[in-house]
Amino acid sequence: MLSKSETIGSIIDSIGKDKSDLLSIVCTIKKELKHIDTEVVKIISDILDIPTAEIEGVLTFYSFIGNEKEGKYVIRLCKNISCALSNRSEIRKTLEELTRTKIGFTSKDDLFTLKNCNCLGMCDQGPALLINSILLSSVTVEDLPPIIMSCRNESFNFNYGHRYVSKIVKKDSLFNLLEKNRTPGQKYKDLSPKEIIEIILSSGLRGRGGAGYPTGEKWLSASNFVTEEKYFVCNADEGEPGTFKDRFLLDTYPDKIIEGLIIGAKAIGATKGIIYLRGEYTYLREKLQKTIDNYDFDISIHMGCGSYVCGEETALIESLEGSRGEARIKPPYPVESGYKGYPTVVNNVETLLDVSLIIENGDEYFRSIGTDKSKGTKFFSISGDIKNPGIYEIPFGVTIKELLTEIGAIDVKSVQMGGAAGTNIGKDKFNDVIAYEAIPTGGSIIVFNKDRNMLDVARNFMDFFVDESCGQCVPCREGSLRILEGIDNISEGSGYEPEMDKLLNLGRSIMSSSKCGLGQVCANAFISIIDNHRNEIFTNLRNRI
Amino acid sequence: MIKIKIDNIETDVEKNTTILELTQRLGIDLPTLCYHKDLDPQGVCRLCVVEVEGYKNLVPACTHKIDREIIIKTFSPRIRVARQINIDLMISSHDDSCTTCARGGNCELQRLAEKYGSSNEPFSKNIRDERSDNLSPSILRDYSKCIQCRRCIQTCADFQDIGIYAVKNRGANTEIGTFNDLSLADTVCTTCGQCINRCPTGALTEKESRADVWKEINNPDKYVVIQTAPAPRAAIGECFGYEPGQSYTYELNTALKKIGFDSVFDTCFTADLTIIEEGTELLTRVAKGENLPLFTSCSPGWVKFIEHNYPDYLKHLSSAKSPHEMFGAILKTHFAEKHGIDPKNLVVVSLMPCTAKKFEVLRPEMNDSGFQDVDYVLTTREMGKMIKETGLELRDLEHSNFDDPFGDETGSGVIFASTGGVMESALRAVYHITTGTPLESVVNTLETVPIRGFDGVKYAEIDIDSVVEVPELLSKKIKSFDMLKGATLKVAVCHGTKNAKKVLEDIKAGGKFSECHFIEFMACPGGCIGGGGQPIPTNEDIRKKRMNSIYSNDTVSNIKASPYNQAVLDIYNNFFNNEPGGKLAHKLLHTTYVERI
Repeated sequence: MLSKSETIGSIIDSIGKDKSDLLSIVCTIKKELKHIDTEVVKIISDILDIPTAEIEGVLTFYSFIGNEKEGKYVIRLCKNISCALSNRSEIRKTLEELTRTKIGFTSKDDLFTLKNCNCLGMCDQGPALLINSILLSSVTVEDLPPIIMSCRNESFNFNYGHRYVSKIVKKDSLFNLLEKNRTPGQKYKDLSPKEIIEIILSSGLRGRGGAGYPTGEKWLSASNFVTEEKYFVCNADEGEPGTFKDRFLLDTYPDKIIEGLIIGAKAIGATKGIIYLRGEYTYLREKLQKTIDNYDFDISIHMGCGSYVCGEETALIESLEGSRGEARIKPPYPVESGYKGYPTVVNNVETLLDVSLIIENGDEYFRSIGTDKSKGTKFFSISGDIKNPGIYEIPFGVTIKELLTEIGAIDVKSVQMGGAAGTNIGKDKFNDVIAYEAIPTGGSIIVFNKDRNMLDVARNFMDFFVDESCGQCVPCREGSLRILEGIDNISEGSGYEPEMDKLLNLGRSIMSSSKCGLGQVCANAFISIIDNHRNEIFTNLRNRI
Repeated sequence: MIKIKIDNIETDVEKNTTILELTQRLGIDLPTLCYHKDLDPQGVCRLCVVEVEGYKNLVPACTHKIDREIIIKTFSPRIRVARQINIDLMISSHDDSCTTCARGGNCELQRLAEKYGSSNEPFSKNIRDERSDNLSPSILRDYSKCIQCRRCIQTCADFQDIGIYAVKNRGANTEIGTFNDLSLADTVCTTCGQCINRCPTGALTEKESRADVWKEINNPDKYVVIQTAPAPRAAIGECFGYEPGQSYTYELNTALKKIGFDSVFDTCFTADLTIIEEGTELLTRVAKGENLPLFTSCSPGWVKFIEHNYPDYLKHLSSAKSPHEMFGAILKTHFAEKHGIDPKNLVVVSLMPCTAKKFEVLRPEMNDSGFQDVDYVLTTREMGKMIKETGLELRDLEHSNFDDPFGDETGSGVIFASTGGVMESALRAVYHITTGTPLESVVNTLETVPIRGFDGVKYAEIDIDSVVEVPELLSKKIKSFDMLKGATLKVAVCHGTKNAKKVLEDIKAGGKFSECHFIEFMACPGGCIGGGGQPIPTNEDIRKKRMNSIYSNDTVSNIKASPYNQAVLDIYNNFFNNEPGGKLAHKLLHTTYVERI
């Protein structure tokens, strides 16, 4: 048997000794040795010449790594809103009983560690949980005893694979094209980088991740820099509560996404492609790798390790470089100085899918759909209080009212557009349209019916940010926590209405003075929910008391 | 040049100037906290936020580089609220027991709260960690005062290239800590104290010895002496709010007498001794051609650094003790005997710019007199407080000389305080002794020797054209200087452990510095004038001013080279059997080193 340091040494030899290999190294070591203890950190520190404290800082940033000793089976139960709206609390109770431990602890027999986690991307099939890297969705209380028993018997090999592909509820032009374009695209091969950029510019395609930056312009900037190396990154770190469409796309159309990446790389002159795949989607890695192997372009998959803020492009790049996912100071933007200081374009999964379809089929069809500033159709992940949660393809420009009719939702009191980072839309705005310039969303739509306690919903969103803030800047780190505490005070009856005004002010100040995109939106959901439901919330509180 | 408008003033700025640099130039005061002149701007405290037209959110002045024509407002209702809330949020996670805090009255958070107003609706307290770490002999860490500005991390990791501190966890659980939550005493901390100099609050302070020293002074059975190093003398005025860059050596002597010290000595005396011992060692090693380059050993932070990180190179370290330790050993032997004082009743206190000296005095190697050679180290800051405790105003005090018998200093001793100083002193001594001519007569003015100044790593070559006979003082160790005839003495100077690492890595790789004869290393940027025990704030401007004051003291000094200091010659005559590096000198003035994990 190899000694600890020999095992670690050989793992590092097989991966690499660059700082950017750190996450990969610690993930592999964790798989092998189960626990990254202080001795392991010291060995890594010696080989990579990174201070032990810094390594510990990286380990403890990512919720899938950490430095604690865990049980043989780590069970992570999603605590985000869509799962919370389904039967999550019952599942939690049953899990705790069966494993004889509590969330946040490891059972005495070292068999089970129970943890809360953030969005697993199964919002249409909640409640969802991960057992090690195996995903279980639509879990019922009845499912649990045989599963836990099988863990105890060491016969845990459930294949729930078929359960995680989402239902396609509504198809439009993109789905039609996807059915037509079964074979690999050819047209991009004959186009020059300049021509590719022109087509994408003319299509009006804007980033599908949420921020909506025009894709063609991003590429144009990056293409203008002349450097030895350039990188093209596919952002597959879909972490926004309520969205799962990227998981669906990666699972169903990996070839089109990789084609889009190769097209983008050609356009900007990138030498290497990287897919940053969120750790929650580890089960998609093999399929993606097989698809990559069919193409003649250098693409590597880099696994995320459980951190929402890594979806922000500069935090993502920090993570790629083996650091804590803390957003960088901008400018410079990644198109000028990104991964390892080289020009880097980061595009969302869906954006790349659109790219491959636009290049293969021309941009006219794309341009002809949508509004002035928001072209094309978009995939939406719709969950919450509706009969048919799943994937909906809908053109930009429809109103919330039309959308609700389309999805057959009834008794709706508000809709959360854009997940935890997004805005709560009340009835007074149901005639507004979905578009970057009106009501934007990266794809997450969560519907709340008349029975929902909206203060609980606001708390759930705020709790998410208290967890996921990178902890760098004061307003986001300290402020989000203060809002959460304030909500608890109010809902427990020790706070009163003026307290709420103080919290709303705090929320606005956090957003205007925070460093990155996370802090700048972290109180959006809270503020808009209170704006839309204030009377109802306080009436309920008074009635309860 | 870019035209911009700030608070309705139109002005031109160079591209990539930050808004903060611009406001500093224009005299507009913006609150900053995570910003420190020695460090890269981080933009994490969000206090320096301003409004830039066209931007939805507030923009941090410290990190925003101006690259186009913009209109800036440094004050608005929104800015005021954001500043106040962010100050309040910091205070909510900070134990504000200001009246008893070591940094009370000199705390950046306290000043900002006072100036920019915390709101009248503060947040309730949320102190994440109430613990403190007092196991390091040098640095006291009070977790409850940390506001996570990250300046200590930048200082240790980027500025000094050590990396004791890091950010751990994330979100509401984010904290600043050491690996595995170890005490600083159990880490590779060099105890340089640079983190203290950059901590805005009382989260990092030196472990104080004031109370102990007062106790000794008040004990009638004890004879308490203090020696003062030149760096604190050039900075102590700052503790009283005086302009940096003025020495108060002789006013300080008066204050020390009033405080109750029985004798006041000048560490420069043993600095001259260090030069003679180290110079002898250099010449001996050059003659034998072994263990070159010779490394200086007077910076205890540097010594601890090499013990932890480059133990294979310990044999290069000069075995000479640092000046104040030499003094301690001499005081508890020679001085005690001469004055009929029982050495167990003799208390030696050192006034140092340094927190690492607090570690150094506790080294088991530093007991050569039969007692702990130096009992207490006080930093410049602690001494500032002691003088304040007496109610004295330093600059109003009359001048007093140092006490006999150690008398006058040479300029060489004084410049030990600055980066390059030890090297310059050594060169003066070695050159003068071997060639018979003072160095300054050859190199015109000493400022032309490229070993002064703030470059991180400096290199110089000095040709020795002809040699003279070995003077009597050295004749027992060295027979002849012939091996130096026509030789080029190659020397280097570096300061800050980051630069030390660069030089050592170069030596490891067989680079240019491996060819050197002698290299000066200092743990702190700027040398002792920038030491971890010096007044706060310390930054490059202030270090420059202190350095100028040190060199102007040297300029007025009549004796430049250590071997021509009569008091030094006397002690070799009367006590050390006229033999630098001899048996007694070796016992009292030299030391050994250990490998540390």
